Amino acid sequence: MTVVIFAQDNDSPVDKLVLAMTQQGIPVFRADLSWFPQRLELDAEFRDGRWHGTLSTQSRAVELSDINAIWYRDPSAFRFAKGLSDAERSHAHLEARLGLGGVLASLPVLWVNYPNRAADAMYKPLQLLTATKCGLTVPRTLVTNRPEAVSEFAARSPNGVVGKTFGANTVTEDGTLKVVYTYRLRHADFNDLRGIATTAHQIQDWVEKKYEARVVVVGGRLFGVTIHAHSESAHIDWRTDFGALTYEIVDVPDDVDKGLQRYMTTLGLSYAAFDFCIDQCDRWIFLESNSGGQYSWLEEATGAPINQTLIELLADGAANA
Amino acid sequence: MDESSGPLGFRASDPVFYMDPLASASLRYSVRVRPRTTVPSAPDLRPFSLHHAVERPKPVIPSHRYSESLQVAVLPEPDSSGEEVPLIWSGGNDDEPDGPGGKKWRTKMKSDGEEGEEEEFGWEEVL
Repeated sequence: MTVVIFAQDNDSPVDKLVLAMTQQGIPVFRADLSWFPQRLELDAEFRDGRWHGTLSTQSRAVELSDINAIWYRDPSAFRFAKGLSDAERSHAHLEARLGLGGVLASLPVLWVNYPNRAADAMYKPLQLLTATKCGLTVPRTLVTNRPEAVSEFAARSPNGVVGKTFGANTVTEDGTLKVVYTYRLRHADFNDLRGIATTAHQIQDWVEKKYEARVVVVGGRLFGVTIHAHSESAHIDWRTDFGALTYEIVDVPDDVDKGLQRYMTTLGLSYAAFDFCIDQCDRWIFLESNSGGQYSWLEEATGAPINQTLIELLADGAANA
Repeated sequence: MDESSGPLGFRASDPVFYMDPLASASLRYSVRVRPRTTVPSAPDLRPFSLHHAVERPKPVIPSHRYSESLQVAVLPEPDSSGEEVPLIWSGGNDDEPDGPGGKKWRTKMKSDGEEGEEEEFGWEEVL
């Protein structure tokens, strides 16, 4: 049985996993979806109630019936031949999604994660609701495009508020990469809320925290790592200053463990990374989940065997589906 | 609005997701859409969250090629024995665990906030 990995061809955590799987004798077939249709070929025939055929590159092939699990790890978009018109390219994209994607989606395999479940799980408001239903504690949160609502919400907040994006927090302008980290709203911000009306914004109660934690869930197994910030900016958003962070493996409290297991089942995920604040009363406050969240740097820092657990999950494949 | 724009200012060549604003499936159409505007708009119009954007250096990706046999990124040139060298092995960080043959994992592990858009999906709902 073979594990299929869809990932970009310079993704180092994937490289690490592929090398380890190969060393352990686990068959793996890796491809990037940008290889389709020029370097990746699908030949699938439906008969006798299931799909038969192969997925192949210039150097290897996998029988569809031999696929046990698929790790869908941020692959690139399909890349078509130059010379197609916009209309032809758009048509080709849609056909590829529904054709290649449709065959793969119909296979009885374990997905880590199934793309549609992962996309649903991107909705942060859905995350908050799901987390609450699963028994987790979440901060009071406002979603609005009304500037007055931001002021009203903040006035009822005991410790101030923060803003954060719903989706990707990066933009490239004038050739420069810009990142929107979680930001605290200061007095001056409330005097100038221009741009709130431009689109939806997420405003949340600031949690007076002792430290933060990331919990990586692989199948049913949890890896909790505390993240201690030693700079002012990292205290607001630890992603701003990786050099100011220290990490420690931590046992996830039972109620949080149970809540996360329910969350994974509810949203149909087999892998996710969860971020928590731990407040002054040692309560774990759910901030968000990321079904494509990174784990390698935490493994490097703590020795938590996340990669091997992911390998075992994928190798067991359909048995975990 | 130019001649090719629809009633909402979209063009026929725009990715489909713009036309399907609420379905989560439409997020899967957002894969690596190239931004058309490259300079910030006026402060009145610029989304409030982007007022808080900070500049960061773009991630540096070392020179490499993809090895079909190993199925990983490798250094452009083989080592002295002619073997391909995975990009993630090097004599880098001493704190990092050994790879086969005592080689070290190259420090190129992604961490959140450094890798850009990570939550993007590749095809349409079919089930």
